[in-house]
Amino acid sequence: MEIKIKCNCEGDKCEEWAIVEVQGHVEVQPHFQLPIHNLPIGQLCRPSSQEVYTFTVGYHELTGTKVALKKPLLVLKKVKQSSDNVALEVIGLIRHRILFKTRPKALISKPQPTMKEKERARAAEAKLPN
Amino acid sequence: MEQGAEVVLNLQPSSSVTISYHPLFGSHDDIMLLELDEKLLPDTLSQRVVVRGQPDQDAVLCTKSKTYAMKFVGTSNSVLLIPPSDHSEFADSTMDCDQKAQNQIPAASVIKVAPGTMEIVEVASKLDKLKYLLSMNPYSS
Repeated sequence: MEIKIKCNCEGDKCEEWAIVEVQGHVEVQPHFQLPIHNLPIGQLCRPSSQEVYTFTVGYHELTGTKVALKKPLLVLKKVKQSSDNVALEVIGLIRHRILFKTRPKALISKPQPTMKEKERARAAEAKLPN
Repeated sequence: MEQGAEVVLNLQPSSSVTISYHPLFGSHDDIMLLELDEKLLPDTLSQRVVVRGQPDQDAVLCTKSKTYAMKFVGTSNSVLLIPPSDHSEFADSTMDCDQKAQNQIPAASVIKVAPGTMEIVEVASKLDKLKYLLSMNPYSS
């Protein structure tokens, strides 16, 4: 059996993909029921001119760096050519990844007001004279 | 509006981008990553490389002159794969009002979480098949 690796890239110009790599798993909140499509995961930020990045997911902040891969990665996609003939198509090339290899730091911020507090605030607002 | 892998790779100092799940996020088992030596890239991109093997054998990657064993190396990290924004296969064909609003801020979306990569190691060519084929047609003058 022979599987051809095809490429539709023009010359050596292959579209570059990106990798954001974190330790462990990214999970959605258990109470989140909707399909996760389009759901924001977090905010990737480059605070300075250095290749240092932060990735804020929920109340976790990760610090990482952009690293060039020692060897490039090809993104291959299986394509069916006929019923028993498959080819692999090069759909992208990866040369860099943004790697977060340290444990996340908890962001200590003002806690979200609880429902009770919100109600109290609303009640206080309602009492204010117009 | 900049989006996709480009904005992640070219993120300017003191700027940020929202990473989100792609509208087509899924397991996409038909997409895999293959780690190659830099020197094999030109041959691969000009379609001179094939994957060969019998169903009962491990697959090998063959260039004109060399054979490489292929093996899958898993990772316990989450490798979030972000395609370029203009990638035809994953481009949003439709755009509703909500999406339009989202497009106002730079965003890059993750199409899949890669479970690992395929790596290659140079091995001796497997000549059994060739010997077998030749033995069926011995030379005779």
